[in-house]
Amino acid sequence: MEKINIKEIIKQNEGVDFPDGVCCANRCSDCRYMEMDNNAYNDGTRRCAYYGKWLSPATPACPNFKY
Amino acid sequence: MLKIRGDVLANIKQTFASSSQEQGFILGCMSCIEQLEYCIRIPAVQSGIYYYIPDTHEADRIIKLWASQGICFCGFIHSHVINKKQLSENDIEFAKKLFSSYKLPVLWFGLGVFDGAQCEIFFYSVTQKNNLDIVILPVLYKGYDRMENAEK
Repeated sequence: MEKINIKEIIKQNEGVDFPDGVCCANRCSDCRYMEMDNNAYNDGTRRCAYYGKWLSPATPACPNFKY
Repeated sequence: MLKIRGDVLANIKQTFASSSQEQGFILGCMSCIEQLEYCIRIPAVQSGIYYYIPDTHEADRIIKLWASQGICFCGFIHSHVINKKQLSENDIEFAKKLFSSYKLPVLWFGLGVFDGAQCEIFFYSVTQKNNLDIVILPVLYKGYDRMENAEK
């Protein structure tokens, strides 16, 4: 990699804002890990840690998930 | 090869191993973009076993403070506490978003996987190929002592 001027990079990024984002170990469409939290139902209902609510097995892949 | 200061690496590993929830740090450099010399933990606005949403205001504040001290924000690392050793699609999306926001030749995106006993660290480089596609590739890294010359 060519020699990069760190001060120049800092200057170029002066007005940049850190973006919103979610680091999620599992994409919400793949909620199999969520089942570990299920101690209330035995029909495959899963608890989504992000929304903090129960999702039935028929729930589509987190349609409301947004950054 | 990416180099990371030994005490920075130790701090990250220790912090990741201290919580059952995902956590994250921003990473900084001063002398060379391939040499990570600084890290600050960014608190979460929300976090859990499966996710971590960094506090963007705090990240902004630290990055601007760093800039005034000549430290360049150049990376981000977060933890997985469910022994998942790969970046998720959301992680990749966030890495691309970070890289697109900042004008950096390379963004270092790290993942610390804590399996309950030890913390394993992985690093990826986020770069742009032909001014078009954003490419994320695993990179080798090594720790170095702050007293030794990392350029060796």
